[in-house]
Amino acid sequence: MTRVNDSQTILKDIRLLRLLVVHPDDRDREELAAQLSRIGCSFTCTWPLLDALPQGADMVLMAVHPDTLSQPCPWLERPNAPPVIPIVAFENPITLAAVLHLNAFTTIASPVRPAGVLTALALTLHQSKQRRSREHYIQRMEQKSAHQQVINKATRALMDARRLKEDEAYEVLRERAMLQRQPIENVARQVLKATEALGM
Amino acid sequence: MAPIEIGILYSSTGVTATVEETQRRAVLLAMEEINDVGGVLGREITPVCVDPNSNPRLYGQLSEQLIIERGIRLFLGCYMSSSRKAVIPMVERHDALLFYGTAYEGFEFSRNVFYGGAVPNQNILPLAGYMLERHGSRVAMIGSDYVCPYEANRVMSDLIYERGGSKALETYLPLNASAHDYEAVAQSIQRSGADFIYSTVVGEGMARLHQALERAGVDRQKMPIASHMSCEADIETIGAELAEGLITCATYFESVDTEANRKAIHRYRQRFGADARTNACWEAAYVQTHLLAQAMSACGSTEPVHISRAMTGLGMDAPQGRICVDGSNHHTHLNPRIGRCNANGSFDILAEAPEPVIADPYVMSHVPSTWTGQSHPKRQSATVQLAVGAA
Repeated sequence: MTRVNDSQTILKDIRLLRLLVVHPDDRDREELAAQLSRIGCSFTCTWPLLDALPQGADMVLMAVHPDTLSQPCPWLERPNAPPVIPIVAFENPITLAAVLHLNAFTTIASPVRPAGVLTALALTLHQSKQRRSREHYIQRMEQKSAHQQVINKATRALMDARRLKEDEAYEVLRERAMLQRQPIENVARQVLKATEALGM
Repeated sequence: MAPIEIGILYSSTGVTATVEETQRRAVLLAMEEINDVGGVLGREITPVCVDPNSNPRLYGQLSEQLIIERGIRLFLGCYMSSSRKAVIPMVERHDALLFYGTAYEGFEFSRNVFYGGAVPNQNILPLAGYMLERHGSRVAMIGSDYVCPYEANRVMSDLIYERGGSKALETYLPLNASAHDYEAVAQSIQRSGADFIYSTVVGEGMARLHQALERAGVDRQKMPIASHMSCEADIETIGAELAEGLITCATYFESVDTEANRKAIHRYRQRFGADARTNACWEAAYVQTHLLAQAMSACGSTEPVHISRAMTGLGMDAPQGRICVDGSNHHTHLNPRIGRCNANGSFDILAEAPEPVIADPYVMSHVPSTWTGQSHPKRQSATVQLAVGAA
């Protein structure tokens, strides 16, 4: 039940989205802009492709156009890049490869029809939030595991140097961390530096 | 010149036939009115009626058949959303137009459809605002198990929580639920201590619900029933004595006091009998028929693409008051009012929007409208004088 409520909260954010429509000025863009207005999102349209993303775009709706397939989008590669919804007219392997490159959650097919645009926005908003929190989680876990490695190494160094058992060595680190009011991994790093300096 | 044929997709049989039959008659009345003053572009307009038996699949099949076999590309009809969804692919594929004259749950736009009924910001929202303001915010929700009730209850729930209220109960029953099922729910409602009941029960279930609540001893003065899905046609099946006190929000009531309404009802009863009743779906179908004729006259064509363009901004003094077609979303600016069912089965109007309300079919977070609140005592006293009894 909470899942449903979470999803509903996300839906309420749709009208607050600032969208960037990167699309040639044609019938598809007209149709898309009209539907975005009905849905009630704020958006700006631009074409050709940009080298840099304007500030404050929460989501990008972008034509995957045969003419621009070879053009790079450096902003896409940056961390925290906004999610992209490709607008796709061709289904040949080259275009498909370009679509895959965008890491999209869904696409909008050309010719653009009003039905389906809202679903594409909702899906992308929801999935990108989940992806972001997954990425944060992974980052935290990676950091934690890096810290753990340092702590393990330092524990072993103390065990060797002072002939301590593993839990005793760890206790030394922990106590020192408490005294210095520092994270245990920092203390571990200091211990490792000191042992290296002493050539132990 | 050959008459202009228009496809009429309303069921005379099946579960939703009661209301759809009033819509079909509304269209026939409007067409006769139009033909009486010379038709459209010097041609008569003729209805080509089919009976889709309240079955979505048949709506799709019959509409495509009329397109392919008779070349018809203008349609009035559909009631349940499922039937509209079945017709849309046909009108889109063959570049035809559907005029849909029924309130629905919103979140749709097709360039081949014009929507003449209310969307939630024109009926559920005002009803929720009115009830929560006057009757309290502990609410028992009972609905039929399909898309509209869930969407309506989502809107109602948001507004309840915003003011710190609570749900005393939320239950859904299948469309074919038995009287026994309703008895059980009615007893829970009676025990729930709710301030009011919000019903999104449709069809035959309505009468069962009202009977069950009566038998469970629910005091309609203390715990009134609110339902934006009940119209005059439903009251006829429920029975006025059981429906008295029911509060609803609609863009039209039979009791609306406008010249256009008095005239339309007069002609309708001349044509279909002195006891013929009207309702909001009836009015929307009637109005859309006139709008279609107006659009054809304005663009001088019977081609859907020309008619569609001519529809933008089109307005008329409808039985409900001034209305206007929104070209950007194909919905209609309408005049919501709150009505309470009286002993005659008509609605006394308790409050009404001071001006037509724009249709916003894609709004997800609703902000209550001010005209339903008590913060406007002036408006309230003015509308009390406007209230009329049985027409």
